Amino acid sequence: MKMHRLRALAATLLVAVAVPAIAHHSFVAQYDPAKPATRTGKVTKVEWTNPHARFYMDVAGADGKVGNWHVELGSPNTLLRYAWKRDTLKVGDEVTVEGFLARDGSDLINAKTVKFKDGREVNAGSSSDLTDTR
Amino acid sequence: MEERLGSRGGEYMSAFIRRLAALAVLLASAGASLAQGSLGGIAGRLVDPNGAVIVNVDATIYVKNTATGEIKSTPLSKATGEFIVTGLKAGVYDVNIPISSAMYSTFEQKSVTLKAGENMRGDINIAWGMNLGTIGDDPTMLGADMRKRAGDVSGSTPRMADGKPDLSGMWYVIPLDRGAIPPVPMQKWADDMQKQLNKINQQYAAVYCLPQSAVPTSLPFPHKFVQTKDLLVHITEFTTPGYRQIFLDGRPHPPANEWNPAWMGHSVGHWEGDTLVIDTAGFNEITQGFGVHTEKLHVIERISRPNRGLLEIEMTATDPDAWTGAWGYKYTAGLTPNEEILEFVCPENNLDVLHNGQPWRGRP
Repeated sequence: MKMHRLRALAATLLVAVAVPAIAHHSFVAQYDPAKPATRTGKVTKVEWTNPHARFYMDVAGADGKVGNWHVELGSPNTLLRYAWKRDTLKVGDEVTVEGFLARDGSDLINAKTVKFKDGREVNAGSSSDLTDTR
Repeated sequence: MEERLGSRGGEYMSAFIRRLAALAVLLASAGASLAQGSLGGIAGRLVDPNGAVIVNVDATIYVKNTATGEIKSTPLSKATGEFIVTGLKAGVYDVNIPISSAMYSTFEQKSVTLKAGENMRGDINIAWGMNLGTIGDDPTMLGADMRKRAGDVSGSTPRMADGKPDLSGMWYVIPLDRGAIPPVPMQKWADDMQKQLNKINQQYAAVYCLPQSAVPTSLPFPHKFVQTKDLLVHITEFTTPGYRQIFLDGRPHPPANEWNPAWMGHSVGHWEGDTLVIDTAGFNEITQGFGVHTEKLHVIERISRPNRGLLEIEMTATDPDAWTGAWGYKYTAGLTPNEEILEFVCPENNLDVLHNGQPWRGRP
């Protein structure tokens, strides 16, 4: 059987016409899908802000130097509707973040999951246990 | 067919070729099943940028014969991520795989040549969608979860004192399979401008916390309708300005020289039987969700509530100065009585705009 392939397109641009935007921001513009990464550090600051919540953590590099990383999450409304509480993440917590690195090479990561030292794991804004925000 | 690789670049190519080789072995035994005499087929799997087969998503593959216009479609297997379209005559096809998720991008390839009796197989690389695979802000997922916990929303259509349907309630718009949304029939100048906007990354006002759609009911977000006899208040979360007034008191649109063209336009509504017909005009030329258009953009929404739990919305838009004909589609919203609108003030800490590197202009 002769094999063929279909090409993948840079579809994020092509579908832009007339399809209502379904996210607040185009993460692809800022983060590199070819750079999945994991970072472990100690939380230094938590910002429950719109359009996206964020936190910062000190991460020790391979050379021993500590850098302050910026971790982007979903919107506060989305986080609250799922497993997150206002005190889920506190300054001083040791966490491991899985996500995607920024295209510009800065110490910035878009979180997919946040794992705590005690084994708890929260997704960046989605899980099956939707909470009540009424 | 000669092998072609997309403009996505080398980052996926090598992995793609490795997967293709593996798939060749996997699929070789099943190869004969596609061919039916002179008829051929297209089959394969969808693969995300990490190399994982995409499963558990609602997606349909559409294969359009460019000569006859005939479209064949088949849903993707949710369990295995595989698709198979059979019974295709020799010809040139446009392949489209819309995926109703912020996590994945739509796949589109035009002018795929299929010879008589030919089987085309392979993995298709799907790029991450707008949320880059982070399951954070995926409104499709949020809406599905909200509707799941809506409980029993059966019952008859609630009515106002005058007998008209009452559209009041919390709703979540059910995202359409993108294959159900036709392209906007643009005149050449508008199409050229749209391509230019896409090229210079000026197609998403949402990055700048600007309104995401001229007609917010089209957004898959939480919505609230509060209906009185003379006014329908429409509140939408996750977009700016978050509200719309639809006047039901019989007033006309204001005269053009007394109205500053607006992102949300000016909406008036009247009843045709049990259907509320919302007429919106007075848009500016940079409002979103309708592609390139002019201030002549005119939108009609026909909204009905056939039972307690469902809204049916038919949207039709025209713009004689920018398009060659009418554009629109139908969609639905599900009642989500266990939800409320939460505050969302987008510009509060919008760091994304800093990374976009340019101000919003709305036009090339």
